Amino acid sequence: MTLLETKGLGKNFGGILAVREFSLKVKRGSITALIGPNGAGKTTVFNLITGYLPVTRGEIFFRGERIDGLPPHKIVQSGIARTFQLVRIFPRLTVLENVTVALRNRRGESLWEGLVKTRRQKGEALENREKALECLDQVGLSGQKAQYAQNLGFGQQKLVEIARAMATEPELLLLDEPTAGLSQDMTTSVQNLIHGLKKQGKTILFIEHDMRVVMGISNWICVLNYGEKIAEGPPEEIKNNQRVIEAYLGSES
Amino acid sequence: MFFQLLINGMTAGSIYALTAFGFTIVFGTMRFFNLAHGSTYMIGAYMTYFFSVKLGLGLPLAMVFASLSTMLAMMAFDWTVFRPFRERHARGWVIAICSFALGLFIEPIISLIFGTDILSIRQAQTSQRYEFEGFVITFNQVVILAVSIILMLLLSFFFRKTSIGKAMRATANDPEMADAIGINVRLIFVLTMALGAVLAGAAGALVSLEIDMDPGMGHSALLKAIVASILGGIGNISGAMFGGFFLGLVENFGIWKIESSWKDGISLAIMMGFIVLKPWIRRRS
Amino acid sequence: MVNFLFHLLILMGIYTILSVSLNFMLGYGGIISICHGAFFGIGAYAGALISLKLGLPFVVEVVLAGTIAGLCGVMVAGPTLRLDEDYMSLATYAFGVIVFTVLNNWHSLTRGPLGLPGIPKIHLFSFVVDQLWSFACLVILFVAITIFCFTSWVRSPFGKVLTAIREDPVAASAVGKNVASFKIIATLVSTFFAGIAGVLLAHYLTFIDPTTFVIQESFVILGMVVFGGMGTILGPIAGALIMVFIPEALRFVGLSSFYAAHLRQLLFSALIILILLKRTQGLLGKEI
Repeated sequence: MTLLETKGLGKNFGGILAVREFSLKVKRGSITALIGPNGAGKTTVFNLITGYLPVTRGEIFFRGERIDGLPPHKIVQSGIARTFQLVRIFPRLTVLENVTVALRNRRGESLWEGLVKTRRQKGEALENREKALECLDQVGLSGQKAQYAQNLGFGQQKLVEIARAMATEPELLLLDEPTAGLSQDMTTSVQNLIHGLKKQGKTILFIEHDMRVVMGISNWICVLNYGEKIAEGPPEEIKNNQRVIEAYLGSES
Repeated sequence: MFFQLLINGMTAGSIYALTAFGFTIVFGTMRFFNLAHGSTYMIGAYMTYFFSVKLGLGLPLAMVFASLSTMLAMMAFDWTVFRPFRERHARGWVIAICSFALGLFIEPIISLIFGTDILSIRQAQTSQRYEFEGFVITFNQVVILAVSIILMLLLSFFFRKTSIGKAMRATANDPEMADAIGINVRLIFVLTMALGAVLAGAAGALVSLEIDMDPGMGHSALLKAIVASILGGIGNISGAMFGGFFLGLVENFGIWKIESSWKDGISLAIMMGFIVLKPWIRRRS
Repeated sequence: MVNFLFHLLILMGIYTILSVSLNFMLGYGGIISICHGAFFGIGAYAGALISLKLGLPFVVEVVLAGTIAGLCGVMVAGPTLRLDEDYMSLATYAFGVIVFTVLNNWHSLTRGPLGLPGIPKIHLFSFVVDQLWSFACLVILFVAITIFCFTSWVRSPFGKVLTAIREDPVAASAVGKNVASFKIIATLVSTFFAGIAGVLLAHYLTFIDPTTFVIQESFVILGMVVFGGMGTILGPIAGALIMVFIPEALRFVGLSSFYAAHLRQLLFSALIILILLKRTQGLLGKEI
């Protein structure tokens, strides 16, 4: 069952076609990897899907409904969450606050509710704290909940970002290079985390350069080069795909 | 009539152009809006008064000294106030607020030294009037126009041909790259401030030939510099100059019959419109 | 002496309302505004005109004047939402000067430089506030309301989202928050309260003219927030108290008005520069 679908997606930056004719179907419950040499347009695709860049042509469907043209926060509200290549946490909020603030439908986010704290609000605040702690637990950072996010190491900040993304209760998670810059241990943790998320019924689309991770956990791989999809299929096929190998080798020379 | 307005407009415009120039190069290179620029201009005017009336120097010499002393004053302020922020890579708006504070700091100092009465050196030089058919041009206006144009030509040459000028442009374009290719970026910053200050000081010195001075004169000058710079494209040197002349001409030709006191507000409103609409325009194209 | 203390209290109160409200949008929301004094002025003139021309009940007047100031705030915030910080500071600076120009030149409405004299005393229900001490009580009441409101908002989920937006608006939208909407709401309440402060000043001075609301006034308010500590609850209060006290004390001690005004400006600007240089987080700010 297709959760996310892009049809003929294209992005033009003042004459430069960063993405062209990109069509992809992401199956519900799958882990799909988006790979390709640097500059292939992967993050651009993410930015298009999540509404941070306007689409030049093509359409994006989520759960059968069009989402291209919607502002980012609305796309998040419909069930897609993302992380960023260069971590974007809230530095001067604590780790717990970073996650709590992302929770869906929190009471008190309007002025009136902020002023008049009903008992129901207080009850929900406790519930929310629990939910946030659960997310932190999943990434193993409950111990750091009171630390200011800016004091955490890069790897831990990445985990906070993932926990925060999970707090929005998404159906689809877009992870932009989740293991970049991480040690081997942390990379394995993230891999396990992604597996765990799939078991919870989440769908994952992630950008990754580490081929071991890609081959290790993906159900499906999509390869991008110069903004175009050059190959798509299960890991075994992609591993031996001539065009893919050339694309990567070509980019190294 | 037309020529009279043209002359008046060009004269005012050249003052605005010089002031805008200094404002725009500081933003272009150092990425902050120097809200003390108006006070810099004011120092130029008051220093001219000081050197000519108090010390009795001839006007030309007084104006040169005034410009130079303005430059030195601002370099001192830059060293003590702005440089520390640069060192710690402070955000542009923080430095802008600091410059605002600096401007507000300079004003009362001038008031306390020179008093708040309106000062004038105009009378000290009864200006020759050259009468032509339909218009009159005073010697002062000739001086202002001539000096400004000469300065602008020199600046144009400076930025295009000299190595320092080119280094400044490179730094404005991309400070990190400039640093990487060996340009002493810190020195460039200091020189940029100095250049901006000496031009503002010169503008203030020149304008004192035509108008009286009071400690509030910096405000209006700052507004003009801002509007002219934005209209010409902030960071764009020739843009600032054209913006200045444009402003001067538009004011004098009085395309709109509105009381002069509204003009500041209106030109600012137009500028605000510019700033707000610019991203929209860019997105469309 | 007692009268001076009440006078001090009243001014401190009015400026506390201003600094606390500015701190909400600037310190917590990261919305650059160097024209808060403009909304102070809009509220003052709105309140003065309402009481002079319409004679509405005081509570209505306050809400109305505050709303007018708030709507003006939204009018500025809306188009400038996406501007980056540099241009935001420029745009708000321009707005501040524009408001002064309007107040100074719209003779038919504001009597321009002549100002509005004879602003009537406040009638609160059956009580006439015509004593210094009763006015001070009224101001304290408003200050209490202001501090209560903003402290609640800061501590509430709304405040947390606002702070998150300050930290990283892109990330904030990535967790489903409508950044524009939060910013506009924050601006609305901030400028609303600035307007209320203006109403109080108008009735206190019984005469207002545009020179009270020049751009330097915005800078003074900004100075209080920065000096006291942006993004903290007590910071702006401390900033307002200290920075109202010093010049008033100088004036009380007998320094002539001429010198007092200049020294006030000298002192303010020097303090701001010093605090930004030496202790950017302000007096009560936390160093994280």
